[in-house]
Amino acid sequence: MLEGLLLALTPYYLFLLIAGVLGGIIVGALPGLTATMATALMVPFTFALEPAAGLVILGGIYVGAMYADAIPAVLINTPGTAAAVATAFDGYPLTKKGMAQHALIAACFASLVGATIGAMFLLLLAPPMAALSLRFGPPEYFWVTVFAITIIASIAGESFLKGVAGGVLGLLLSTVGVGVVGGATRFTFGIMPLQAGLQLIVALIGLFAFPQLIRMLEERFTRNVAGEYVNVPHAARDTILTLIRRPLNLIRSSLIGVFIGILPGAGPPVASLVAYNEAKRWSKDSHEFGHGSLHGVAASETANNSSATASIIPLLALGIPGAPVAAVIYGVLLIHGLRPGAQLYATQGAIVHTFGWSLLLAGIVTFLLGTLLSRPLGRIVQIPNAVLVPIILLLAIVGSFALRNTMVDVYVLFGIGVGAYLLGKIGFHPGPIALGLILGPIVEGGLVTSFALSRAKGWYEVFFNRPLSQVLIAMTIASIVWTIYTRAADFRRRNNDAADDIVTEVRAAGGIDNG
Amino acid sequence: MKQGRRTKLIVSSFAALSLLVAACGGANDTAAPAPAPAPSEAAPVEDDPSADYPNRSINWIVAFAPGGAMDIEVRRIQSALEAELGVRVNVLYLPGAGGAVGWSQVKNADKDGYTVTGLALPHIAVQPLMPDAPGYVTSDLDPLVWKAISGGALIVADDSPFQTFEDMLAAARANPGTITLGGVATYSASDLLFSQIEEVTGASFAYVPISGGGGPLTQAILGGQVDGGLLGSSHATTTEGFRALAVAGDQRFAAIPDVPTFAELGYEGVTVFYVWGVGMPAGVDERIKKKFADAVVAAVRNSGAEADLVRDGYLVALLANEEAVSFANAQVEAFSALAPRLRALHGG
Repeated sequence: MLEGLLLALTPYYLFLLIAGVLGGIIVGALPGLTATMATALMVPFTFALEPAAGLVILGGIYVGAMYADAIPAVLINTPGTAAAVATAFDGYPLTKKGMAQHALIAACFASLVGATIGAMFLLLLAPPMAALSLRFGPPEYFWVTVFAITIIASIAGESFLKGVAGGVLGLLLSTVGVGVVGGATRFTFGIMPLQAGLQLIVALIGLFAFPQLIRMLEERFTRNVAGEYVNVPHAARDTILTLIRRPLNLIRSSLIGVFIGILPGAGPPVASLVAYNEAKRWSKDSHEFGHGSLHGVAASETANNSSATASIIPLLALGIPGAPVAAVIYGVLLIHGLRPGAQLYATQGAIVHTFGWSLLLAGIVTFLLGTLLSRPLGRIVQIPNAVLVPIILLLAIVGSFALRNTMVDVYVLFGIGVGAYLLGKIGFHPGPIALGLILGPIVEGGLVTSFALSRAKGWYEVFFNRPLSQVLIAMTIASIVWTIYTRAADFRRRNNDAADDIVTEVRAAGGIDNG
Repeated sequence: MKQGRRTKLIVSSFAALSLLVAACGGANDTAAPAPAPAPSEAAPVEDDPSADYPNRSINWIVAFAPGGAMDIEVRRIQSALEAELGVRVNVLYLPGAGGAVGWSQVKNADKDGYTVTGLALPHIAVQPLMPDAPGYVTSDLDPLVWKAISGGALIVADDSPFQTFEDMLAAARANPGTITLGGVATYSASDLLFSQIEEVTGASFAYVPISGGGGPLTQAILGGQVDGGLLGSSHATTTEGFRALAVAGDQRFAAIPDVPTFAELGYEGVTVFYVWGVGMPAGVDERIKKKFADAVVAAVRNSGAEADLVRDGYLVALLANEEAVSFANAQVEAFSALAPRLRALHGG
């Protein structure tokens, strides 16, 4: 295993790694460009290389992109990939407080932690983790997604009901396209590219970036930049110390990322949302979440990086590509004549270990580059809106088009963007809608496949009589009860405050003293 | 030419089933003809649009996500094909709805030979049978070359209690509808294979559509979430922990010599093959199509892709030009008959 580390540390491999991470940072930071696309573009180049060298580049891109999607999330409230939705919840409020640099450093430090823990699992515990992932069947996918839907409560923003309504809207939007079962075409209105459903990244740009751009134009009259940049000395040291003082948050988020990462089809977007939710749930100061908590940014970014590295586990150990980037890597392995599985570990251990170590090293490179870049990147918010808004809009349009080379995706961008702007005006937060869009296909797939299974094996057996499902059901119920309890406590406290306010007002008016 | 003979056998056995012996069997002797210099090529005529084809880069549309079989099949030959044509070949991804999104876009592309697309059978034969049409009909796409064939196979995990297809069949007969067979989505190769197996055995299984492509299906089979899975026989070669019980056609596959065909076991008529190839939108000039098809055949031969395909459990087909067309037509004809059965399966 150590030979793998030594090989990964040779100048040639380090060069490939740094190049990969840099490429990943660029595509991750630009909404619309995805790590999947970048790795797919690199495939022909990897042919000329040794298999391990090719994998090092692809791994670097993956890890770099998983960090860099936080950059637009923090600076302009627009997740660079679906895995950074939860990063925007606290990252952008931090920017508004003038702490963009802190948020960016939190993101790259979290990426380092996540990638390291994910890579350790890949190097040391791949076979048992792979075996665990096989215990997950369609019913477990259904229940784990139902559990994830309970997150809506914590990201709903001001109004719980509007959060639920937004979540339902997101789920509804996720049904656009050809149904999983029956081949029925839903809500496509005869527009062929819609058969594949709304492209998640396009919808996210519409949900987050578009309203943000309109708001920036509106603010043009009051202030002409997106945010303040405050030059704080020791930003890196302070941020890292803040995060290290809550090691539990980093470890919990990493483990959530690993466990969700080994499930094919779930991956980083789900992991970061769940980790964010749990970070908020268990935090001493959960009320700070959503208003600019470094721990919120760290939770999301730790989880998406550990999840990305963990998604390589079922690929290498079983030959199951669990995430789009893993699928590209699978293709590269097959073309090189390498077949994932126990045999690969036995006969090509050097390749596997070099790859695993390089993912860990990619985390370190990402951290160093991210820290270096945090100052110049943080200054982006100082660019006048008159310059920044057109650039972002252009990137959003080009990115949406380039995804599948179709204008339909650009129209979808504008449609969802205008809709999200109007909904924002009446108090809807884009978070729950994004959550619905991300989870919709997984929950639907799990449900209809479980239905098909239950016709053969009985519905009780399939939905309720499986140990893992029972654990997930218990977690879901606990989460719902917890939500109701805290919401009720909040509500009581606010009512009491309101009552106190009335008493105070009446006193001030001199009404009670007389009595 | 052992491989070539095998191809011929599979193809002709298939053709026999679809009553097209003459069309396919006869043409086989000239499989992938060496590009003989035609008189017109020596002295290019003014109106031959293929004379200066290609003079710019070609876009190759992959109708599936990166890393899938269709992607791999172009990547294997990409650089050899670029050398053959002298221009860049750009791979563009247009995934969605089992390929339908990409193909319905390709249909409307310029018919100048600069947009080509990866094709897959039985996908392009089956999707137009859906109750909601997928946006194209099979004849919107002209197949140029069918490159690699994999047999429709019934696959179980290594530790499955079913040692043979007969074991599984006995269980299905004892408790009809309780043996679950997973497949990719609906109106796909998987449910087609399912319908054929039910039809020829008279037994009743439960079809379990699994969304999200090959990854989740592999996971469900290896994890025993389903009793078996329906996918291409090449997976039995490339995925550790997979064991094929039976395969389509009436000739065993070289990569899995111990796996019997359904026909051998007494159930003739399982004819689903996964076939990967390339085509263009209908309406491109014949000479351009031929020039491109011949270049693809040469690229397969020169790139070492043939050996790699065999290693990965495929049969190298290399049916080009007219043969490619008649092969696709035969498939369409054979599977149209199954349309009512598919609709019944999905309550459509």
